[in-house]
Amino acid sequence: MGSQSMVTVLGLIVLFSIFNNFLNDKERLCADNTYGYAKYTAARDIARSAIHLALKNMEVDGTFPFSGSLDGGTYTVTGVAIADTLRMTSTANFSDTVYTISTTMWRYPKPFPGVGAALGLNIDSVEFMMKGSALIDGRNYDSTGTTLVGSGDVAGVTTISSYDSATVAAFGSKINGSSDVTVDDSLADPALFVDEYIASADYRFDAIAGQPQTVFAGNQVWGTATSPKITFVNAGDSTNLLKFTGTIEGWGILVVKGNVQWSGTFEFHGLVVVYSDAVLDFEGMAAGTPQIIGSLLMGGPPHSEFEMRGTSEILYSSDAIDNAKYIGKLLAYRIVDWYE
Amino acid sequence: MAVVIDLIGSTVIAAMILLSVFGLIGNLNHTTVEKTYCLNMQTNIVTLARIVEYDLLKIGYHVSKPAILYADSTSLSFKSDLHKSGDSVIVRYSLSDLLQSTVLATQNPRDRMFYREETGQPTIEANIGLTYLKFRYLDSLGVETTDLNAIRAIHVKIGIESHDSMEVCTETECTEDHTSAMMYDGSFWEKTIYPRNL
Repeated sequence: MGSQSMVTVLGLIVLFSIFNNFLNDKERLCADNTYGYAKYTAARDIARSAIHLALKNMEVDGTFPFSGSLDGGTYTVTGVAIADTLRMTSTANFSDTVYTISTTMWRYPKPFPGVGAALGLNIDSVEFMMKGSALIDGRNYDSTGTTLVGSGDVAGVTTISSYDSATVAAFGSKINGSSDVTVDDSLADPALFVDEYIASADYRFDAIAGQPQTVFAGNQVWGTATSPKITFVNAGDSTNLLKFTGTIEGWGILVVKGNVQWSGTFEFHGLVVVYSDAVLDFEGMAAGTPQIIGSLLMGGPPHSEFEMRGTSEILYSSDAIDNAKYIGKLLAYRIVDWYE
Repeated sequence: MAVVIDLIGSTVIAAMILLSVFGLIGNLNHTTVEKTYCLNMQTNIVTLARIVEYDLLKIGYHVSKPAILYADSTSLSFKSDLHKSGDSVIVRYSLSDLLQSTVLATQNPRDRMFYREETGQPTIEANIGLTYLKFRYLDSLGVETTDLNAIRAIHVKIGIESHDSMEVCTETECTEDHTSAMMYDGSFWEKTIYPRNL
């Protein structure tokens, strides 16, 4: 009797264990289903976020591969940027799930004015002056300003009225290009986009209010060919002078307001935007030729003053301008294709 | 006499224990079936959701416009280089009606067959208990549209139920066709998908 009871109890234990195991197995599979989908969506979200982070990183250095950790997972974005095309592959890992996105994007600068000359003057009745051996050259140079490309030459100066072109033409001996001066009443107005440049500036130099002269000593690098930057030099109103005494090399976009004097070596590659009254003074330099390689666009109220002094040169370079277009902060992206 | 009473008493107790055990086993069996239905249904809806996401996210990839060829509330046809092979394929989703023979064989009166056709691939005919499938098409402002060229997002809602019911009626309560007083395990999944190539 006792052994029969024992067998019965053991049999029931085995039976219930089988049921229990079966139910637990179903629970586990249910959880696996749910968690498997959760892992998939987490990996997908990480891969998508990684694309955004990589685009953000383009503003900093734009190097690939770009990798990191996010939301408990990891990501790696590989890619290559050629001119206006950016190809990226984002691979995200979350737990044991991998999610991959491949995309091609078209990148374009926003906003970026076309000048169509070495110097564009969007000023009514401009007060124009070139002193010393200043030079404006609309022939197309390479981005270093040392070699003529041989094609793509533009006018030396573009103004918005015939009256102003006559003012500029008086300095024709200091101006080269496909023609010395042209008139283009649709010339871009810097006022429309200069605020965005200033807001995005990587380097900023402000004159100290109330002081007639503010001096920045020492050598400066405002961006490089591979990583062009935005620089804002703000001398304030015409009662102030902002002075740079060191060697300065820059690539990208330079926004200038007011009276600025460079007394060291100066070389800027890209687009220079000048607004309000401005005097670009290169006088007193110890050696070398201060150069703007690219293009200069100036806007301001009627009778704004533009003056070049010393041995300064503005050399037109479509290469340098194209380079400046790809400043990370000013790029917008449009999806050409997206595979995930 | 005392021995006889002991035997009768122990027999009655044994019978009660056996009845309890059988009842318990019956309940366990019912729970196991429920769990199995639930698991199957969950597996089906997750699988279908992933297929739909996989496909719809690729609408328009490396193909000429228009990428969406046909779109209504229960069927959708679109073009894509779906497998990144350089070949454009046409994918079509559709549902059977309620009288399709395969779904008639199931106990659930609301389920339908789900069809996925792809150029060059065998048609998937899935009898997974699909009882609800609705596509809504949205333009770039998130407003519902029927203009195929204006579609920028697709809202998908899927409902799946078990093929067989968890019978909750007694035999006398159930109708002859077993369509009332039946409970089916069910689940919904919905999502707005933004195909980036549209």
